[in-house]
Amino acid sequence: MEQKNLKRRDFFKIAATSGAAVALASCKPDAVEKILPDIFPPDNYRIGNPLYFASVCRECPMQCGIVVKTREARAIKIEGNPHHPTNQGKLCAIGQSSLQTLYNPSRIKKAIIQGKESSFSEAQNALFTKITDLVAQNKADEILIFHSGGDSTLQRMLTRITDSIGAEALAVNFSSASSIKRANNILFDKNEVPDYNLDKVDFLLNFGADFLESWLNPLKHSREFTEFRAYKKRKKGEYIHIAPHLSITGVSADEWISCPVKAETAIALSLLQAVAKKSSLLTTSQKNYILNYTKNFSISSVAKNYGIDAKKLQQIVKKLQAKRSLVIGGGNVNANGNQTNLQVAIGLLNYLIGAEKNGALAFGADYQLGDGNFRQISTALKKAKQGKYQLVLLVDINADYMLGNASNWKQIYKKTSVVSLSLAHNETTQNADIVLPITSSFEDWGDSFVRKGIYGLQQPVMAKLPNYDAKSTGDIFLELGKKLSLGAEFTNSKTFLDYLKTSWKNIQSQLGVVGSFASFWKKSLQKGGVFQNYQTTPANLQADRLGSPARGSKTKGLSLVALNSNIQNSTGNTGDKYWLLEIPHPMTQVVWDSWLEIHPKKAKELGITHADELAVSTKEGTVKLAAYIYDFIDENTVAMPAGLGRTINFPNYSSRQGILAPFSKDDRKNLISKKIGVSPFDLLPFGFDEAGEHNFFTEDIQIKKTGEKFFLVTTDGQYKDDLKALAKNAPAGYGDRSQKDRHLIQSVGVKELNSGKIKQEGHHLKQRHYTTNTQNVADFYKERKKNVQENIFGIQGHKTPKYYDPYKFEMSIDLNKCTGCSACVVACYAENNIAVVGKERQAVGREMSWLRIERYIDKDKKTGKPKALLAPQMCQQCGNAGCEAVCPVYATYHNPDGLNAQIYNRCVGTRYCANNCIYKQRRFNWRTYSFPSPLHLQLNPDVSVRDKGVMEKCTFCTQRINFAKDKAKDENRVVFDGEIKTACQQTCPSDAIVFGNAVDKRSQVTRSKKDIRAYHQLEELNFQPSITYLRKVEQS
Amino acid sequence: MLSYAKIDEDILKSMEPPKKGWFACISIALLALAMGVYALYHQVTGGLEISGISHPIGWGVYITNFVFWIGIGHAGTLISAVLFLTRAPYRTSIYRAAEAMTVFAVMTAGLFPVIHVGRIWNAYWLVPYPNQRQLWVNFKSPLLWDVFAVSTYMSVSIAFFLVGLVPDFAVVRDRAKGLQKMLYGFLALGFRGTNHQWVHYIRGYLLFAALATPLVFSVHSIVSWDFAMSSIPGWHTTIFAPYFVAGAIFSGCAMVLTIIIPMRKIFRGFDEIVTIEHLSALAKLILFTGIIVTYAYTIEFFIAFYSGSQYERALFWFRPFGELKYFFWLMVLCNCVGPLPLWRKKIRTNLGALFVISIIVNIGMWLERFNIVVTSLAHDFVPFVWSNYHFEWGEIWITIGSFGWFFAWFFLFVKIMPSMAITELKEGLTPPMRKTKVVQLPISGSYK
Repeated sequence: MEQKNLKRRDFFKIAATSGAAVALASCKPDAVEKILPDIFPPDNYRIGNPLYFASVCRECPMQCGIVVKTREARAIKIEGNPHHPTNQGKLCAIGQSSLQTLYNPSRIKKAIIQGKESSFSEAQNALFTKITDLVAQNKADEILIFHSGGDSTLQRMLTRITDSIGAEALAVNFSSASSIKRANNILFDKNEVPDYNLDKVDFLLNFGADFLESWLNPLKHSREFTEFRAYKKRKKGEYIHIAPHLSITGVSADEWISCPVKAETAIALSLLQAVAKKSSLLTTSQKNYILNYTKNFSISSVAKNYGIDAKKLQQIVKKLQAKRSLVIGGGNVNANGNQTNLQVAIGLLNYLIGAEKNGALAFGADYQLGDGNFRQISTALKKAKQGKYQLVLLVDINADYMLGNASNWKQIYKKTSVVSLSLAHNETTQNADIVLPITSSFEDWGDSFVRKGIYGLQQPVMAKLPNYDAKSTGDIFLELGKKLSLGAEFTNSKTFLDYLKTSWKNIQSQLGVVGSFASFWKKSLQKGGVFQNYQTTPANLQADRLGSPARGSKTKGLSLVALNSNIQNSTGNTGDKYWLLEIPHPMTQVVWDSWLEIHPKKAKELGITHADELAVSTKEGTVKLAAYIYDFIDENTVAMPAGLGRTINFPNYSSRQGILAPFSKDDRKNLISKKIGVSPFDLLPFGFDEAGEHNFFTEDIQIKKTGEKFFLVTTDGQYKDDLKALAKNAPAGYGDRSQKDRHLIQSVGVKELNSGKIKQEGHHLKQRHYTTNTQNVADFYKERKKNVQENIFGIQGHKTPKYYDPYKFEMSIDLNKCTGCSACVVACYAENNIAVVGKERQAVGREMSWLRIERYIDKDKKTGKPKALLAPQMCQQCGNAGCEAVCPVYATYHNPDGLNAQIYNRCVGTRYCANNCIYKQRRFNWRTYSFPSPLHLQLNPDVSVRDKGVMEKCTFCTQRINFAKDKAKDENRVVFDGEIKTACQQTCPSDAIVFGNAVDKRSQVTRSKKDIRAYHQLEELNFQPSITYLRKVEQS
Repeated sequence: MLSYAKIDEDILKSMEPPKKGWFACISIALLALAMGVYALYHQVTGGLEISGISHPIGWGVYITNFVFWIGIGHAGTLISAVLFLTRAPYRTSIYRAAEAMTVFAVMTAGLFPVIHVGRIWNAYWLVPYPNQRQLWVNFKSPLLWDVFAVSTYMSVSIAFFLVGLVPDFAVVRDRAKGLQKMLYGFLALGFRGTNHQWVHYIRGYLLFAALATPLVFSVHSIVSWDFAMSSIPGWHTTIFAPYFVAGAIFSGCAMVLTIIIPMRKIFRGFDEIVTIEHLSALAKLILFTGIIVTYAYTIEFFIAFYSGSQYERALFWFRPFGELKYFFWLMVLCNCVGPLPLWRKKIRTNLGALFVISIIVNIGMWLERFNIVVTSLAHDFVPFVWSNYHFEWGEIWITIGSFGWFFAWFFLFVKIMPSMAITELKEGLTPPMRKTKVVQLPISGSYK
């Protein structure tokens, strides 16, 4: 066939086949991804509809139940599982960000052997050969396995393997429950963590436990705490906090008794002595044992020794006896080597005040917490140093970070081969001999038994990420079991799923659930597991085990504690998540960094001012940190955040300031590796207390100024000069971070509430009467009005443009419930595709958060002491908004539902709306921010990803509103109250946020608006905000 | 002694083919412009982060520049139209240059609202135009008023400028040859200087002057409403319109001095046309408007105190004592103290001193706008977001570029258009063969 005779049809044929051939040739097998990477796509699936899967959160030992929302078979949002007894539908900031574990940009794509990439099977074979060789040589005891502990089928399988071959397996986790377990073992012969029920008390005494953030069971405690602190029956539960440091848990207390580190134990023992003396519950011998144990601690001597008001302690004793009370304590702030004594005192106090009788405390749950025993780990590491191990297997443990420099860990590499099973690149995978990439909890099967009666089931919600040659931990160990021929349970299971099902068959028979396994399995999958109550078992005191009198000790010099918070966890699994680094720590508002909290008086004494660079030295080393002048810390204590100091990859958004900047190399698109903050393990000794609980404390530290200013970025600007914030008010350069009489966050005393009249705070103009007409804006263009009527409002069934019918969406935020935990902030980031901008960009005011926790430090009117106030702030969806009127192109406008809608496509970017917003809630895209792969898979398809030059802000999750409205329309009804839950509201652990239709007179939000505590921020400016705040209730 | 011929000769001499000096000047201007264009390229491709604007300071140097250049653009029309109507004697010699300055300043100013928006490629959406998507602009937004005010002002001032040039173009045409003759002939619209043409021309010019006069006051009032109509303390005040107009005249006159004094030096013969008395009359205008501006500053503080509103008080404390205080005090020094020496006749008639003071006033007025725009946004209702301004390279380069743009046009103008009003200057002289000046209505009013 000659070229010129080529017919049109022939040409197409040739073009099509050769094109297809090229396309086929260029495809590698693993690059192909299905359009819907579902594992079992449902029959009636339609693109655009979300699917929800119940699963388990793996970020901390509490292992809450979650519901994963997927769109087009990719996980895009996590919410709490409402059936799960621990979190009951709520989720914390860390849990919200576990999506970034799944889509971690540092996830390992290929297995690594000796620093070289290899196929997974090769690396796995290398590991298995090593293990089988050692087993064959009868040297299985030279295998050391570090895992994260807890109880699950996987864990049981691992134990089964290690037990049968005789390898040593140790849990590495920093849960502060070990000392509680140990104390209860001593006192009541119960090696378990009791269930603390804060909702069943009237008086709470807390020795530093940050139970709203990281201690034991934060979501459950937040929920109960809300109940306990609610204003009801003309009262509010009382809460006293005794600790050297306040975090958001501490600042929500009515009173803070500051004490040096290690003094809490002494105080607790002195209180115990006083209570025991008067107790009628004890037999004489028991009393004697207790009095003997607390011999060295009378209230007067403790008060004298540690400089504490004895009267206050006596008052506490009275309150403990008079009211339904509970004493708790623990956490990193108490992890100073003395924590078991503290827990003994707390356990006894609770016993004596009858906490168990009141239901405030219960045994029998057997929480799977605190199985990390650092005494054993220390012994193992000593052995490893001597070369007694041939293989160390790390099951998702970042040992290089967690075991730090002070332990013998890093010497291990010389003598032992280290194999790391890890999801993402971290400090350990850099050094390990073999690295096996594992899949995340969103991609594989699993379960979790966090306490008796909770059987959480974890299922894959989507197919494995393409191009990541990873395998689930369960499958790896299953194959290992087969290889070692450990029995039928291994050989009978093809995959880990089969193994899991076998295990769940046992659970079914244990629980006595009738019916087929298939239906039990299906039900469990749907509900996220099987959830039951546990049997409580009463505690009997065995005072004779108390032993010799407890001895107190005092700290030397300045003490350093490393603390967890709602966004920081000492295991370091929070230190590599963009969201958790991006959102400000609620108390300090610091982002992307570590800092050293120091009391203003101490700072003055040392000549330190705020944000000075400090060289902090301990016996373990010296690091450079920023000074943060902090009112809420003991004078002789300094604190730093735990869990930071991880090295992460982040887009290079660094500032290009300077006259020559345009000629610098532009590598904006690349990720650069950065160390974020400082690891506390660089400063802390490798220490543990008698229960084997890791210490987060060291004393006699040296602080020196380097003379430089640290590049410390905080998102609050209130220290800036102001009429009401003169330099003389600023302790050590920290500045005045008060509200400057703006009355944004208001509070009211219990007495005032009881009187039924609340004194109005604010500007005198508030009393002025305003009228505004926002109902008739379409009248402005008469000829267009007709058009609008016919085309737009005709559809709604109205003849004239009608606002607020049938919806006017409003929100109320109860400041008495809000703890400032920032879970809402992360939820907002996740739901609305908000970009993460990094430290340098935040330094020049370019953070993108639609929702922020504003923190002010005001002086208490009565005591004159500093008081921290926290409140979530987002777009107030004003009824008479400033932004709408000034937008020249109607990119923002008032929609009939009462929202300030924002049309990204129409926005030109004049930023006039942001200027005219009195709440300063609008965010501008100063550049196009990137979502490094595979983070882009997390983006919510319902929300546009904004490009440079566009204004954005909170719209009360308008995508959720529309989803519910569409559904209601299909069903020919209006939206129910509570049907729409905004992302922030949904996750709020203390239910502070209420959202709903204000036109509906019976809706929850309408009721909130009528509450006596209701107020609007900056009301005198007449923007008519849609968010009603409810005043915080103060104990007075 | 001025004569018709000498005026022609002096002024047309400035239009001779350029020499090295001119090329050097325009090269510098174009280089500056290139800097601006380069920065703008970065800004368009990379986003606005190369400017110091941030949250909560949504407007910064760009809007400052916009208001500054609009203010500069004020003096031209004020001199050419208002002073024409009021028959001010010192108008004739300076008005052409001032008008050219106005046109170029407004051309510069008009760029900034476009430069400062996030999506330049969509900036045309601010203009109401029929479209099938039925999208319309928001006439409630002061920014839209701006679009109209500035574009109206620009078109009227360009038209007024060109109309004033018609008889002068005719003069140039008569002396030119070849292609030049054709081009100038086109611009001269066939003006032959017949009585008939003069009658219509004078009427037309008067009408234009009457039309342009309200624009002098409206454009800057409307620009001021960008701020005054908002809710921010420091912006939301009724004093803004007159305050801005006075400020604009203040800075505009200073800019005229900044331009005229070197011109007078460079082009020999101009010093006879632009006399010291003319310049000192401008200096008086600067002094007068300077005092108005000072008064406005003072009254702002008083009202902030008198209102009892903590937001206003806090802001007006912040301006002189906050982190941006240096800008405030420099502004006070430049605008309130700077023109004071002009009370003395000796200084008013000293060219060097006048030039220095005019520069000082220009700097001061830029700072005034910066203070208004930036400090108010930096310190408004919510203390949590209070912030400081960080200059970044992009906005500085673009600002430099705007000066390059402005001066490049001006240098071109000097060479292709008569930079003094030839015919009107001639009217001021005693006609040849006569002993007295013309008394009847001339274009530019009678002399003395």
